[in-house]
Amino acid sequence: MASILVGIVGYDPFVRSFPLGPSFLERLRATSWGDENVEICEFNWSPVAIVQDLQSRSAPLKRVVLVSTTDRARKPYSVHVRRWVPAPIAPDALQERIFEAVTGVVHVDNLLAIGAHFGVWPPEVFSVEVEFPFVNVGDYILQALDRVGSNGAQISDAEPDERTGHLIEQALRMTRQAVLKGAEGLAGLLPLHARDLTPVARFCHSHSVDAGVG
Amino acid sequence: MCFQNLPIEFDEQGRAHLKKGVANPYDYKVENLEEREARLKDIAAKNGQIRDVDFDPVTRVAGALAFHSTVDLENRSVLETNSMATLFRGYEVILRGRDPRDAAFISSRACGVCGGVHSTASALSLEMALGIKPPPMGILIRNLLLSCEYLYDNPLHLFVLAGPDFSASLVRDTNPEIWEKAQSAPAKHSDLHGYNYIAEIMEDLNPLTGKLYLEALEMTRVAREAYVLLGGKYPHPETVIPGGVTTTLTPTMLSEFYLKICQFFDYAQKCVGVWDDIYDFFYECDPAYKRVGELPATMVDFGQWDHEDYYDATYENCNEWGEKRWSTPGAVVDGKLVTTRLQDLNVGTEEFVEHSYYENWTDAPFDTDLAGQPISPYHPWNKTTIPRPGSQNWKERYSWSTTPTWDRRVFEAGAYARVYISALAGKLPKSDYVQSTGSSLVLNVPKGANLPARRLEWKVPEVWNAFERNRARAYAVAFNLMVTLENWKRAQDLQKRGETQVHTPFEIPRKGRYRGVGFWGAGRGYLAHWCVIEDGLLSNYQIVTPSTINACPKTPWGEAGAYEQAVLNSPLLESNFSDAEDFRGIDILRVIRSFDPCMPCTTHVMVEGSDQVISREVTTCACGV
Repeated sequence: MASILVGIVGYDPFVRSFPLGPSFLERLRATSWGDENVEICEFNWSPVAIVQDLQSRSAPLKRVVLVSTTDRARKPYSVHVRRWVPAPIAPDALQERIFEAVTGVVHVDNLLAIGAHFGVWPPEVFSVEVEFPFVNVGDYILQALDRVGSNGAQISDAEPDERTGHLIEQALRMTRQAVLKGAEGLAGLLPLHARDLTPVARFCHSHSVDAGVG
Repeated sequence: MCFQNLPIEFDEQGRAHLKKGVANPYDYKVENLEEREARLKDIAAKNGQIRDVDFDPVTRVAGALAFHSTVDLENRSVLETNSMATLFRGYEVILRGRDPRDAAFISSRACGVCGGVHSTASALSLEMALGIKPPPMGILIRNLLLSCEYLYDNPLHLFVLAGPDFSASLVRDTNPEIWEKAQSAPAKHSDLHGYNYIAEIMEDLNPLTGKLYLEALEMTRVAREAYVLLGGKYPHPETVIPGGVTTTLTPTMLSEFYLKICQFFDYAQKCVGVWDDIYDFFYECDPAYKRVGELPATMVDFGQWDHEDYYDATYENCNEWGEKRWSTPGAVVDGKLVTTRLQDLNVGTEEFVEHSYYENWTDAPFDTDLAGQPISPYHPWNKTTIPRPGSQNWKERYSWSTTPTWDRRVFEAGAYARVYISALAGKLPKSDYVQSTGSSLVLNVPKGANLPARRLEWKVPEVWNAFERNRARAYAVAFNLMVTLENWKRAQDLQKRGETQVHTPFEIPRKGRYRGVGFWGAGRGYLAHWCVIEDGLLSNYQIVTPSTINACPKTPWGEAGAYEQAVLNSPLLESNFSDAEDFRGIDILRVIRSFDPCMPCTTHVMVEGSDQVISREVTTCACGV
């Protein structure tokens, strides 16, 4: 049983040039981890299912490193590592995340919060976050359609560009440090509290209709 | 004669053809939506109580669905509705030009919850296109995998998505008068679930803490474990491929599978008891609840769970093998079953984009289906996905969902459709576990750990509304379970006879044009994949999901989609609010959630340049890093 787990959250397995995509996973799998027993997992599905998988493990994990793209209003295309600080989450807020999780929303914040509630996380959990303004694969496809026409295979098989390649290298380096050295290996490590997670929006907005709005 | 709107009639052999003398048989009139807006402005000018209520995103619906409604709080009515899919999925585009064998793996990612059904629909589509007939055990294992997905999906909806809307914590807040009555209202089915009063059930529906809520999460684990035994992993199994499955069936595998499934025997009875009691109680409190989400019962389903003695993957015989499925395909229009033939369902299918962010396509390469019957230029085999991002405009384009129709009608899709159609059709194969009477579905649930064996019966309801959708979904758990047992028993028989081949090898022809369609169903209902293969590559691939159908924008001729119509028909019975600020919109949400929406299924990119406020970025399945 692995003692350290690396989970890729929200990775697109088919569009090679979509950050960070299969290219990142290939690099991760080719990485040498020394004496550590490291398992690379795709976490691209319902957080509830992932939590149940983690609950069913017989041996405890020493460390978990989650890698994802996020949009936390930081410098675009920058890479950050934060350490998850467990704390109780308000039941309403948690329930909103569970609602999303079971309808297919894949998001690292939901995974962290739900995992914390069900007690699946080991003492050391790190979030490697690639700040990326466009997080949806469809955006990429729409842009690519203008460039290459309607050939879907050409879109999905295109290799990453230079900027994406650089991001992959950065994310890989930070993931490796988090895996091998934990908190000790990461200078300037910031905590990630529940209050730092992207909030789940209130879903009901009400406003007066004026005669000019249909 | 199942078509009332399309100019299609049938000859004596039951073959469809276009009526003679119709010059442009597939033309339609585009309705101008300006009048709707003018009417609303007029009402708003006269009445200060008119409010816009935006559910944006409808968080419990995966963030990719926004729902706009205009309500009159004084008269407690809904004046206007618009359902918006705010994301675009790129699957049809990605699949174009790829090896057909990629389709099952890639399309599976269309949803992070129910990926196995997409794999199977894709496999069926290729099997039809290329003439691949799986061996009996391959068909049965595929059926058992499907059952697990349904046993995972339906309880999840009932107790984790819809359940909290009927929980003590919510009802106390929105309708204290109902909570008051619940304290002393006896639960009629205490023998099924153990609760004496309705209030006790409501307490255990409370999110995160309620026993029913937590139990449902646990049962989803059991269903997933059963799936993994036969399918290797879930979601996104890699064992479901054209020609069957790649599972290596060991001697003990089916026994281990049974040990998982039998945990649902008592649970299926409990689901029925809980939801029968809750919905009957609400009706008794206020009969107006029968109008919440009310629609004429118009629905389409392809049926699922192929019979291994009949399924041959051909379009030519699909009417026959379709009617032998363990849930019957069909179309119900206003409560009446009009066909159970898969070819009719296919011939009557069209997809419109007048109010969607897509260009209309001009090239329609096929005039007929594979049996020479007419199909529309708007049929998925003729469709080209041409995205056209733009600003939201209620009069023009406002959704990334398209508008699928059957016989020029919008319709509903859902787990309830397979219950409803199977009950009406009376065509289920002979089984000790499940029988269709023509007006009901009889389910003989075996003895479980704590409850005795019991005969459950779902009857076609007098009204069709949000509560009846959920009630039928509760019975669907038992229906799934009975079909699972039937197929498990058949798989055991095959294994005893040594018929354990699970896959038929095939090759992709390098030349020629081939078409197929995978008629299948997700936990949430109707699912189909249409493919066209040309010279060894996919030249077209189209997916229609249940949420595309239910969340669709208006048709070109102005007919509202299922969400839109159902909300429009609903009274607002929420009682505990003083003004718009504390109005929860619970009745509207109950309606939307009764369809079991899952928008990642439908779409995948944010609207660019829209004035729509998307208040939270989410990474839906198959997107992200």
